[in-house]
Amino acid sequence: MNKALSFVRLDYITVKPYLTLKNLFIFLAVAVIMVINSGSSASAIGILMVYAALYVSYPFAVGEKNGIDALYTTLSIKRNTVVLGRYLFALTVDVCSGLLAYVFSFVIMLMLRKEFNAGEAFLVTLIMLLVFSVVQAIQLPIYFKLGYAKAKFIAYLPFFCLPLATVAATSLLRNVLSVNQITVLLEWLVANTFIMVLLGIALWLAIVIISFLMSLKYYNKREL
Amino acid sequence: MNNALEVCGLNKSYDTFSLKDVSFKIPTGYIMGFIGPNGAGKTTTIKSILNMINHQSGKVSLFGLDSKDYAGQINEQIGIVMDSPFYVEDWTAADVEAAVSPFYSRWDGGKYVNLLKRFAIDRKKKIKELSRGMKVKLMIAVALSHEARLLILDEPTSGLDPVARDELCDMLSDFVTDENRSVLFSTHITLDLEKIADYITFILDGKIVYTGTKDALLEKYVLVKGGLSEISAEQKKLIIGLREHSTGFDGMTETASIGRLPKSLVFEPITLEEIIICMNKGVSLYE
Repeated sequence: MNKALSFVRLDYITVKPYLTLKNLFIFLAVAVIMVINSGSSASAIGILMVYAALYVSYPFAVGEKNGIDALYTTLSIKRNTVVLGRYLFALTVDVCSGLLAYVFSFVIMLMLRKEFNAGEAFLVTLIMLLVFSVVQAIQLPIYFKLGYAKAKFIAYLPFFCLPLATVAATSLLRNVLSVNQITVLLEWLVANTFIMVLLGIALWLAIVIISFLMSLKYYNKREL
Repeated sequence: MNNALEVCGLNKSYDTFSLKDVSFKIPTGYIMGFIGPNGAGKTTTIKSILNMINHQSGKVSLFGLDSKDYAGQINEQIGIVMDSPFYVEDWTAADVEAAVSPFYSRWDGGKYVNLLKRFAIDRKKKIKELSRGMKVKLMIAVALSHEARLLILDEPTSGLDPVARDELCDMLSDFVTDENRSVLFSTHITLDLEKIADYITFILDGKIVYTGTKDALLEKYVLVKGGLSEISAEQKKLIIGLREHSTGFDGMTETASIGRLPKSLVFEPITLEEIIICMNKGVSLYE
């Protein structure tokens, strides 16, 4: 585990030269504009989380450009550790940027003299965090299998496909179940929030574990 | 005699190239030159040794330990110097230390700082701003700062000016003054090896054609020149890498074959570079 944590630090050092304030200010400016337009803090949280999601792919991009996988071998970092470390790095980025997005959205709302709903903002941040981590769970095995250059087009598809998949799933649900049945199901879920949260966490965990195992399989086969 | 590195029966196949039964060993305390033309299999062999690629069969032992089973223990004792560093080009020398030091149990930060000073490398300068020679020195600084016992260098001198190459050779000679340290130096600039190598392993088309002391290799072959009319068709078969031109021929022959060739021919000592050229031309004959 120590090596995995050292690897998270190594990933941070890898992307550090590209974490520029200029980029952050651009995203903050976009966030402010979006809040002005929508009047909601959710858009600010969303855009800042997108910024973070982009950075999760940076170790692959920077690493590939500089042949850093070979460095991992020379440093005796086992391939399992590389994969575990990269997932921990992604999670760390998501959590840190979630916190930052929450704080920034509060500051932006304060500056614009708009009302900040703390509970709603927290829920939005949490949902965004889960959605982005699911997107990353789809992306990471693709990067591990193909490398950044070959994978970047395919890896960005989940950003477009996930909303489409949600729409498709909703319409499928409508076809299979009647409006009444859906209402009953939703009411049941609302009444059993704890079970709903548990189910959500279990589903998220299952996706992440499957993704991790796939990445492990692909990266172990790759030649550097 | 202990061996720092033993490669035994290494095989690795690609669509258009394969390593065929590659075997050689480096005795501890010596510098081995790993030579061969471009595409002969030097880098593939080195990557197999370092477990960067999976070989299909064969065994690699470093310091008497299996390279796969004891990768963690072994890699701590190896310093790698490639033609270009594996480091992120926007890193500084200080970033390099922050990135690699947690993975070496014997990392000596003070030594790293001193080596950077000795090599005149600015800790805050980005890698992309360093010259090729400086990049090689940075990799050597990393290797020496974690007490590597074996340096593996893959074409570090290509593109370096003669002064930088000479400096590198001096560093390597210094490195093996400690008899527990060894060097595997892959290059096609054989002039460097003639200065510092004790052993030579010669790879051609994925096969080892010679492994042994440098002196024995240089004694094994001689350069031969003469007029076309001076040798018979049968005697031509003794010439490796035969090149015929309007005024005569030249090539290489085994010292043991001199007696079977006319005394009128000119025999001269050969260089490693000439051996590579002649072997490359005469590979079918040699096989």
